Amino acid sequence: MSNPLASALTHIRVRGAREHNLKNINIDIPRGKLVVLTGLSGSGKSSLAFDTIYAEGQRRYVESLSAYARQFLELMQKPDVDLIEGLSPAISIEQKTTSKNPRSTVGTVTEIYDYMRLLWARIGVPHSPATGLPIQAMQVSQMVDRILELPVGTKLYLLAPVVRDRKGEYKKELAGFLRQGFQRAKIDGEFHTLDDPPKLDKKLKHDIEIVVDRLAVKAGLETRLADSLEQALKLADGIAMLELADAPFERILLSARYACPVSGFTIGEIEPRLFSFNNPAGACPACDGLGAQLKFDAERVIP
Amino acid sequence: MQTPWRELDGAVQRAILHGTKEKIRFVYDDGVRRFETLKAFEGVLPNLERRWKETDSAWVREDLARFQSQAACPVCAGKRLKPEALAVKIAGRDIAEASVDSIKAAREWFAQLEQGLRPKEKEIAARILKEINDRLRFLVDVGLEYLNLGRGSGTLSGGESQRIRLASQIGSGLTGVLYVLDEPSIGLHQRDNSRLLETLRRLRDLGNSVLVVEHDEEAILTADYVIDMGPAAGVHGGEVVAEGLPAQVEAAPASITGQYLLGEREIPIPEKRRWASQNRFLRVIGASGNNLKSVRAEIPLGTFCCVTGVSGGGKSTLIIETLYKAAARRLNGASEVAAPHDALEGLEYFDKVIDIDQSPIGRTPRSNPATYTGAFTPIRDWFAALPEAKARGYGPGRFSFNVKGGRCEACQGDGVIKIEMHFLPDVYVTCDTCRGQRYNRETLEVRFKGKSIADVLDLTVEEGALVFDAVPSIRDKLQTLARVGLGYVKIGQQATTLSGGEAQRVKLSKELAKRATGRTLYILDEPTTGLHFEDVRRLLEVLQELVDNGNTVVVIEHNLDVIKTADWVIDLGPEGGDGGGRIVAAGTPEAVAAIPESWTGRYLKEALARHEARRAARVARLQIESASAKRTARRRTKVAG
Repeated sequence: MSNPLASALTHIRVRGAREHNLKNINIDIPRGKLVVLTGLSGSGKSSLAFDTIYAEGQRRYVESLSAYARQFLELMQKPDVDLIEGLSPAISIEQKTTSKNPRSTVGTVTEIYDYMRLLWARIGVPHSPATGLPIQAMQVSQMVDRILELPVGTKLYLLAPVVRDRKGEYKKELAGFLRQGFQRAKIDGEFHTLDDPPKLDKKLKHDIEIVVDRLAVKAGLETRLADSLEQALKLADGIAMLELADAPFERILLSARYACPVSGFTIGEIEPRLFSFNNPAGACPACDGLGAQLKFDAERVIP
Repeated sequence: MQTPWRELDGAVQRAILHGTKEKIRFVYDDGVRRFETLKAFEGVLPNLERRWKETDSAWVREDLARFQSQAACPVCAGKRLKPEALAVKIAGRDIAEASVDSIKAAREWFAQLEQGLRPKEKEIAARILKEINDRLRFLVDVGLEYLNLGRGSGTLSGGESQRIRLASQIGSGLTGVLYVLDEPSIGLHQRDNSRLLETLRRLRDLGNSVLVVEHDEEAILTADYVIDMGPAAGVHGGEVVAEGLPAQVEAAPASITGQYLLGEREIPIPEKRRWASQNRFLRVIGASGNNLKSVRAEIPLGTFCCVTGVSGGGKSTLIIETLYKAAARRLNGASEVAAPHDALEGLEYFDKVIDIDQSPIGRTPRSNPATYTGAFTPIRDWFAALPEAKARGYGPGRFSFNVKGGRCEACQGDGVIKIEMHFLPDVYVTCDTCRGQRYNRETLEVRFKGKSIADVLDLTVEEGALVFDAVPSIRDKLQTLARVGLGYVKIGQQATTLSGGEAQRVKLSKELAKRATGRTLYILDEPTTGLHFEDVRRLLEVLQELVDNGNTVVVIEHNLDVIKTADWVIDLGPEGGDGGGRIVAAGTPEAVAAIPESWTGRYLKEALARHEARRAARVARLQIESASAKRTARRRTKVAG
């Protein structure tokens, strides 16, 4: 090439490379091409590719950084070479870089797992571990819409489950609900009026659901439903229950927060770090997110 | 006390393993003194557990680690996450379930997921899904579709982790960068090789320069530019023998690579394939570990047997996890646990099994090829026997960098001093007392042929063999190292700096130096890693020699040049992961080449045809040459007459 500048743009010019066993090599390597370097083991391929060209590319890049940044990076030794021109920033993809860190997986190194965490945090639906059913946080207006989807004429009770599977007499509480103006409650599966509550055995567990409203589905109920629902949610800490009068076992659970109405399983805010096994927010507490435990194995002790 | 373990009843076995609550009377009697105590027996497993917790010594830990095995965490069942996190699902799957998928299955699942989303979700997810899908596609492109997303990086082979990095580089979309790669085709089946090359070309088309160190024929032939280094290894190398387009390198007479590409040199196919000696076979019956589908594999005794198949086809599960581990447990008394299988027949014909893998030969810088192959002991003895050493009263221990005496005490023979940086990686600095020579000044004053012990450790194996030409015990060990293609490695090169392929060949040379019993089963996983055609040829000679001595060699390999020289080929597949795990073909390379379902067979067929064509061309060329030589000779006689 007559014009050295032009050739620097098209070629990486190496002059006088003497690293390791290289014999003062001069070579022009075309840029923007797929170049294969071959030869016997130990013939100097790696000395040229890694210890000269890559090392110099890396060294120049690191030297361009501030002294402060440089202390964190390994400064490579200057390769034994007279001149290298036309060098771009170099990235080496070697084989030795396998991390033995048990926290690193194919998903994390490819960053696919990071995106998956984001995806699960944004569109994932929490499911109750007890029932396997989705836990949904609904707005009151969504609940209203849900109820109005039922066939017109369906008779239903709107219940507020205030006591779930707890021991106690609940005398005072029931009286309190009466004072607030509620008439009826479903106690341990039976409807009772609140002015004549059954005597509860304090050694047994009970379920108490306050009847907030009784209604039949028809158009124009929106405001009344919204009011009743809000009341029920307030009483039962964000949970309301619908019971169809004709089919008392078909109950619809409505929840205003991420909580399982059956087991009370709650989930805080769903953020990507909840799905990271390398973060205490998400890691299994027993194995610290490693998924495995080292155990002394009887099979191995006895050959 | 003398009752064998398996004859003890369950309760006693349990008591020994897990200990007892009630106190037991112990009688100590060493023949001189005798005393008794009454205490609870701790139990073998709790004892190990306690020692593991209490020790600070890395050595003790390593020793105890032999008895440990990994078990899935009982709380999360290996899912690594809190129950809260696992409760969150998309399309019925939690994030851990989705990570168990192979990359191929994950790609399908994510594609389907996008179809099923509600409009609002779709809007949120669109950009995330694009990133995920892109990355998955790049991974498929580099031939890694069989990996699971949850697979630990530490369990990946060097080639696999390199290809992962390659895939993420393509995703980064940088341009104007110089990428330097070291043998990206390692561990890749020929079928996936062209896809890998396509990926490299895409990296180039993005506007980057790509410099690849590679031995693969296809890569060389399809490159834009080829540089051939040589002519030989070590001091005999370091020059550019040929450069230019592939065709120009082929035409360069001095290029060994060119000669191989042209077929002037070749890895010969043996004249005759061996058959099982005395019709005996080693049989693995009903192997069903990982993806294996109750496989029955037969390996003829006293042959060179190649196990092939696409990545993830089940090669390693069959050979390493099942055959090797079961054999090691029975023959070598190792505490390995083999993958499930019904039976292993024919082990009685072997006296030991040796797995020559790519794991490091030692994890400390104190280990090196010389210490590993045992060449260092005679070297030390030789130095101790020199007149200068004798006059000073130095014994062999003086020339060891592992014990006090001759080593530099400032760095305790490491040559480097480790400075712990706490939250940063440890920094190693060269010891300024010995300037990295590892010995103290007095020891270094003893010289042989002008070289101190530190100088000797700094020689390449090849140079060392010349220096110690007159000392057979040293020379032989060094020459064995050179025979497996390690002539360029330094005698004292720290084990931690050897590549996987190099470590494997160091192990191989150690085995070669041993006196062979002729009843050994050798298992090698990809021994051609990092080897040029010429090195492969030499390595094959060594392996064939092992077989000639009556041993059986089983090699897991993708290199067609190796497969074509095998006596027996077992091809697993046909695909990776769930689509594999069966034996697609078994027999001589010719027989496997005739089976169209086998990927290996198809490529092998081409390789054999190419080999045949080159042989024919060579014969034709020789005939022309000899004919013309005859003509000249005749003419000359005429002139003379």
